[in-house]
Amino acid sequence: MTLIEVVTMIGDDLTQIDTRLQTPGLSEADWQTLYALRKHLDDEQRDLVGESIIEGDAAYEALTTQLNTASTQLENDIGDLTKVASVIATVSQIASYVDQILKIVPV
Amino acid sequence: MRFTVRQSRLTRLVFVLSLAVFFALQMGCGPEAYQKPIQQFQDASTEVINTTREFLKNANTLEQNKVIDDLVFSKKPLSLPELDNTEIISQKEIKIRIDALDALAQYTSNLAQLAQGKTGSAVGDSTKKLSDSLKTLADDAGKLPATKATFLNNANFSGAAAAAANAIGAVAQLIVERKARRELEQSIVSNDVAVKALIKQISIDATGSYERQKSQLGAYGDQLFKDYDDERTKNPDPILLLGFARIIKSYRTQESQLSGANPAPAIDKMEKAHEALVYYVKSDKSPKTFAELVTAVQDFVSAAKPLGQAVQTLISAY
Repeated sequence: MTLIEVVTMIGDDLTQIDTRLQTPGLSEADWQTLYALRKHLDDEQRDLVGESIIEGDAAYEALTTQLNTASTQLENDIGDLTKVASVIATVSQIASYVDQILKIVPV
Repeated sequence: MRFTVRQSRLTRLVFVLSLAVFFALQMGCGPEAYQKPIQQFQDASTEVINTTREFLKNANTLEQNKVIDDLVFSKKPLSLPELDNTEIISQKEIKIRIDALDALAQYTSNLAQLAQGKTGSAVGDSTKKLSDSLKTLADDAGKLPATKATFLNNANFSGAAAAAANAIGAVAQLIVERKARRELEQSIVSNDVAVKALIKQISIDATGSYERQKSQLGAYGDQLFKDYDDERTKNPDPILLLGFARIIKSYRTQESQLSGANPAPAIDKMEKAHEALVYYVKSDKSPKTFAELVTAVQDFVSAAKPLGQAVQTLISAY
């Protein structure tokens, strides 16, 4: 997966999160938690978009596969208000994968 | 016997008709027919170049609007000169990319002239100038400071522009030296990887800009939703709520237009049209390869056409 494809995937995740945040139903605490995670993921996307990555790198490829799986999970759960805890956990996981991708960026 | 004569006449008739169809098709991709897709390519390129400029500028407008919102919400004084300095893409970064796109479009047009057999010194000189121009752009991009403020990778752009400058320079040299057609065509094809890589890099930059603008706008929408929800659950002031309604409508217009104003898919189609032209240059110029070129240009035109309107609607929604 190319770097810009990863950036686009994060963008799709952010759009999913925005749709949830802009729809009534979340408690104040959940809204604030999800919004804070969204802000973190947004910062990561901004950092990632200007980077260069060796796209054949095995660690990078493994992380993008995990990211893809987590993004699919988010897409499946985001509309279900009974799965808010799971959604928050998945967004945390996505942010963690992106953080690990940023750490393997060559200096 | 009578049957054999009839069969012979029929064979000749089919042969004559086949020749007529062949020449008609050949005339169909003669110089005049050829001008139309090339003119369409140039017009679509102009549309994409103008839109890309406005679209990249819009990233700064969104950023500046965010600063205004933050200052107003925190009741801090507004400093307009400081706001003007809030840039996530500098004017120089925008200009470099727009000028490169322009040079690439002109190079494709020069290839179109070569495909028509126009190998005069004017095409050679023009191609040489495009190579020099890209070299300057590569140097300029390489000198830009790597700051956290920008999300663009100027080093990547500089590398891609330098490689494309060398590739186009090599083709220009052969045109100027009036090398044999086959040698020139071979050079165009073998050097095209670097040219396409630069078009791709500009598309990547546009995609990056689109994703960042989308995210900025989404965060703005989240905050807007929250503020509206907080207000309506208190003892809401109807005038304030109407103010929210106006802002929410503007937000929705921006959100709906942003995707349509993103020039990246059209830049990808520009690359495909360029690729089809390069293929046509080295081909036997048959009606089939000409039809493939026309299709690729049409796809590019279709992608470029709605961009101008979308970007204007996006900008006017503020």
